[in-house]
Amino acid sequence: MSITLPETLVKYYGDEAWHGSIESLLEAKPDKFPEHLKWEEQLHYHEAFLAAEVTRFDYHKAMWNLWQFCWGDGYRKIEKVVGEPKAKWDTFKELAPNAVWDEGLWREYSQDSDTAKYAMLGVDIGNDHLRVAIYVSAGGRKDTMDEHALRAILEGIPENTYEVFEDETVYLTHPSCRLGLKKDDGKAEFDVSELAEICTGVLDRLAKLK
Amino acid sequence: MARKTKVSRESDAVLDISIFNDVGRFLQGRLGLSPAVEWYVGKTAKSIEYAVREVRNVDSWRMSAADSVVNVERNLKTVFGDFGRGVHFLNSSRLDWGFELLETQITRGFAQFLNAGTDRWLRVDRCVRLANALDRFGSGQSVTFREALAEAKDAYCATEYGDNAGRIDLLILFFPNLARKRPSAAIAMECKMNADLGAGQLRKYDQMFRKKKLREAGNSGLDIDLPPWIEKYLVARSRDSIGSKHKIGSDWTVVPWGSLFASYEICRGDEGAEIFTSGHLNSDGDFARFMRTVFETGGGKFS
Repeated sequence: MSITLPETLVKYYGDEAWHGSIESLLEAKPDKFPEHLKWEEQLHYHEAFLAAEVTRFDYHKAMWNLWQFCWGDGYRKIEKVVGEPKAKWDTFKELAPNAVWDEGLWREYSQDSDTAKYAMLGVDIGNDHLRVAIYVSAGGRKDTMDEHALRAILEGIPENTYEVFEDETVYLTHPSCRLGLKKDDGKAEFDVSELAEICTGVLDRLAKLK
Repeated sequence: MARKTKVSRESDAVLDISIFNDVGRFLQGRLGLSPAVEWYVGKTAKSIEYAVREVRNVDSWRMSAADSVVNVERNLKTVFGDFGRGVHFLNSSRLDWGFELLETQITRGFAQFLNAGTDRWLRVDRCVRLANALDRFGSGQSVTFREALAEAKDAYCATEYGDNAGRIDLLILFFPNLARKRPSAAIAMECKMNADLGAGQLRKYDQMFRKKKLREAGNSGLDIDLPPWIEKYLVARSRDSIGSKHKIGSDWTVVPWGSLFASYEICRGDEGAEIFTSGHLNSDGDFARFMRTVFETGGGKFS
């Protein structure tokens, strides 16, 4: 069970100038042509623009693969924690291309109420990590992590595979998912079986919560 | 133009979508559904066709660029300059001083790097390179101006030159002699980052440039002769950031900060630039970090 990052992402993470160029191109408005370029350079710009879009697509696709391996249809188990939804789970507004690029791939499972329990699953690929995230709220007006859920998530998993952020979101990873792409070995394949196993365990334990 | 493009995109269709039209006709004929349903099915078919074509486009882009990294890098370098050569601002990290640079800090920092300490040839190179970078914005620099640059023996970037009527942020002077007297050409740059352009600000500069002498407020405080020809630029976050309420004369060219640095890096590849920059990589590194910082301050955009 592995994820191979395409060359676009290997260059994006490994080459600072490439990284800056792609970021800048993704900020560029499609209805503008850079004024410092010449008429005869138009196709170079458009192909560079396309490369930036393809990089963004590749990023999304890599995260989708990570999601499939780690969370899959885990929402069925999440439903047991936060309750079945009255209507469609969500509006997918977090799937806008720039939202995924900026924030990672997230999905929120919540009832149609401000005070109901909700849960969030996410995946994230950065320049030195490949990780997944989970948050289960306790419900009520104060947005805090459910203590029982937190215990269930962390139960029995090795210390070097998780981190609890300030906002109480738990990030899970595995040593095999450390990118280290700046090494010039061109390696971009990562074994995610151990991480996927951790995620399955987390979802199973959550599903057993009363 | 947009409509024409759309039509030609559809007429180029290679996918067989007749099945969807058949389904529409079947629904209408057998089930007695309205033409609206047929229209809807047809539209859905078009959407599917378009989506499939888009995916194919991505794949064909990949295949046509089997040497994709080399190919993409070539295009990126056309847009941003050769980041494999020397120290490029995109290869440099921004200065993390915990605050954003103010306009005056940006213009004075820019002048400091253009002046390159005591290195006259590096100074001339940087100022000429900046003139070349600005020329890419289609301002139409005159033949006389370009000749003056070609014959420049020294250059000097002054800050806040002017009088009570106003002070231009940067005035880059090109001298045909080593005595730094009677410049033969100049570039005026009004630099905006967060502040708005003042009412009639550029017009006041135009009046000021009709005088023969100006005094630098920022650095030496010396009077200096003005050359007969001054190329004028307004550097800002973007053309849109200037706002439509300001009337900008046709002899002022608007230049976005990000595009200016990209253009400057492109001009690093100009013939002769290597001669001047070799041996000054540390200095260039500082300049590159400064440019990266201003680039990020301006939102990291180039258009």
